[in-house]
Amino acid sequence: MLSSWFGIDPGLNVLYWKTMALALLGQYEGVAKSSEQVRSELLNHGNAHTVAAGNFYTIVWPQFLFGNLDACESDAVALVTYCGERKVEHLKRNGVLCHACVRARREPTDENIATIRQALDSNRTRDAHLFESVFVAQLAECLLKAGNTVAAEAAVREGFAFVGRSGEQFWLAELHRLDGLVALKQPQPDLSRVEPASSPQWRLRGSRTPECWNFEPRQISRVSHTRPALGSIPARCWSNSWFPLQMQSSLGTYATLAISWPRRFPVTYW
Amino acid sequence: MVARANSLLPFQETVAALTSAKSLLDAGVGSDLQRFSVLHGLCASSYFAGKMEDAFALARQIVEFADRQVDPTFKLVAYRLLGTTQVLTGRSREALESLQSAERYRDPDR
Repeated sequence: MLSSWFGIDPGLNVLYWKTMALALLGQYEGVAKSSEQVRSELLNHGNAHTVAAGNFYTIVWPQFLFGNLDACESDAVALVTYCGERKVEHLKRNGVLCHACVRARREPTDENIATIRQALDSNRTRDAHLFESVFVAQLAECLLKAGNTVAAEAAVREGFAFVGRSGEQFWLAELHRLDGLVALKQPQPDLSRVEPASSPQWRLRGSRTPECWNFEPRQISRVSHTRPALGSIPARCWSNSWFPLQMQSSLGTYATLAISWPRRFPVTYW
Repeated sequence: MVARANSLLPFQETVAALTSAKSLLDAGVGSDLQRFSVLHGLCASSYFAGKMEDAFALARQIVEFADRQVDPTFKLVAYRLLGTTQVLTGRSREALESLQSAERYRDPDR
């Protein structure tokens, strides 16, 4: 078996990352199909790292990224337990972080937020930074929920600095969304940070490339949520010229997925 | 050296072990499979350590190496690494193409 040479089944690992690429592109039908293929091939697989990675990349991680908190919380616990028993250390740490973030998003208490920070610091002492942009963004979101705008802004800056240093750009759009929300909390909101299409940083970083379509519904819905209070976001945010055809199609899929999520994403493969 | 690297934490030690192994390979010691394995380890260590552009550059080297090999396993792993680094660096569309290329070399029975 190739798993013994590479530490993980390389064929299944292709499917894991393909699932993630499809999810980031908003191709949710493909995500469901790919997850199903993983499921059929992973049953009775003997390599612990391969099983743990399958559960992380095609179950826990999509749930985490797209906000299915109920399922993510219980599946992250199962992942941490499995990884602990079989000594799959780095996936265990990712499971711990996902769980900490979900808990803090539900209840943004000082204690729960501190747990995220501790898990992040623990990763950093091992020089393990994979997905740090996502976890720092989650930290910022929890701080915002807790009403700690100053710390949230610092976390967003920390996220931008990490992306600049590491080149881990796939979650950059989310950091810009959070930057906009932080801006809205200021006494004098800087609208260039709020309206994505007009943000120079947004354009320069290429966050509105086709690769980021799936984030735009979240971005738009959050801006929409805050719009009544602000009242001055340019109307072109809502026009079809700003909102490409592919995006409109993706939005429909996104809405469908939100309704049918529990059925579309299978249970774990333990 | 690779076996030692696989068992070590934190990543600094892993990278140091793999870098030593690569020096030996560059000096003419070892096989193609060992070179591939070391480059694979270095690439994976780089993205785990948050050095995505280094990982991306290594993945491109690995693809060049794999494209000269006959065994499809080299291509499977190489295009997977390239796809992974493209996902992480925000090149999702290119990543999907690379991962679909890798998928063509899959053999679920191996």
